[in-house]
Amino acid sequence: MNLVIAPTPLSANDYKSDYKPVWCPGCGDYSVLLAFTKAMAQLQRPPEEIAVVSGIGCSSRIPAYTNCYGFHGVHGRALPVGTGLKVARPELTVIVAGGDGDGFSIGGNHFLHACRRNIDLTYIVMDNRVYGMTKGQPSPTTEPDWDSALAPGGTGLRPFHPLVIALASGANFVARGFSGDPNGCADLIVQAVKHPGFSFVEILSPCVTFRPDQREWGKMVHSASVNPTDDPARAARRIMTDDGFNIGVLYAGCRAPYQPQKAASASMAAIEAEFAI
Amino acid sequence: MTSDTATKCTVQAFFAELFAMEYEAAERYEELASQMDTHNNIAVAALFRELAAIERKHAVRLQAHGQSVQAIRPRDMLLSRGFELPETAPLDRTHYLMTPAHALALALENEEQAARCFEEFAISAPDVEVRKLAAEMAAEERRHAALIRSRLAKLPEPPADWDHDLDPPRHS
Repeated sequence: MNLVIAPTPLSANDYKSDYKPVWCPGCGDYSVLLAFTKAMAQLQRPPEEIAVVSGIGCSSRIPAYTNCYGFHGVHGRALPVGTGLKVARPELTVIVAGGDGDGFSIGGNHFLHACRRNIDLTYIVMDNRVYGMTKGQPSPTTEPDWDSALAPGGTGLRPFHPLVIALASGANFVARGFSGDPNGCADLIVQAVKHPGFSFVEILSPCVTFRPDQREWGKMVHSASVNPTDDPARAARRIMTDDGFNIGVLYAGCRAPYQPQKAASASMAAIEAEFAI
Repeated sequence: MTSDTATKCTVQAFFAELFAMEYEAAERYEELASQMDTHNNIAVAALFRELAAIERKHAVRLQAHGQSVQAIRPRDMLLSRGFELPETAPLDRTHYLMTPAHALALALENEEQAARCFEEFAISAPDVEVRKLAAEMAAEERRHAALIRSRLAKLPEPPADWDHDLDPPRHS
């Protein structure tokens, strides 16, 4: 008799590596890691079919703490690496992760074009509005009046608005989560992965060391009171006028993802012939 | 409690929630212990690990009711109070220099929150058996809270400068 043994479902712990995070206790990134592992367990994708790509920064350490394939890349260049990987290996679930400095300053231009290309991947940004790893400089999303030793009196600069820019640049799914709600973040990540095209999830993830004021975020966040829309104009109005603490799926579009043909369009001999003198 | 959760509030569903609550509490204390290990806060790591073992024991006891970890999705009844289940220590409440007194105070908050949650259920649950079970759970959580409170009373108050670090991460 052939005995068929049902495979044991993967649990969140099956997506964790043996490496212990070195983040500060209280950091929101612990919750994002938890949300990520819970999300992957919900999706039941084997770890070897998932690639986590990051840049540089505290949050960009995340690939090492997962049991999936990982690429801890160059500062601000996580999206080009993730894009290349997804184009070459479309069968993989590609998750790109990082922080606000990595994604919106050093990698700002890549962010615009990744949204525009609409490759089928998920980009998670752990936004703490500060450069934590380098000891607390203001980042593109820092409030203009945040007074600190490294920016006395604040920068006075208008903060970058990632969700609006993602929407305007063509991202096909836009959501905001809060690290204090790991179950909610897990749901957002699941929806983002399932949604075709470029999915952008901003997770408000407090830096308790350099921004202890962000411990108050738990009292400020609230669920988006409306259903996601597929109308970019309506989504833009909502995002532009909310208080920045509205969490949930804010836009779910229907633009077809870009996926170039894997097959070579010309033979090597034909290419070499073009260059023959 | 919403009408949707009320209709799902059977004894079996309630056990599932209880199991999820104890399991997640144990996992969270284990996670916090690991964080404290990394930051060389050995006393607090040991305390969190002890709390994890206690919660795990509660989860194992509930497992006798036939619940399996994978079958649980704790998003309904007990989660209605906040982002996480009532006995789960919030990840943002820790500090690398926290003392055992801080850790016990956090555990006390969690037990009291769980007790309040069950007390509400003991009044509002539509099923009489669930109300009875919730009242028992509330009493048990209150007993746990009392135990933690008595242990906390034996610990010295954390000094005013408990978070003072001679080599702080902050630039000043």
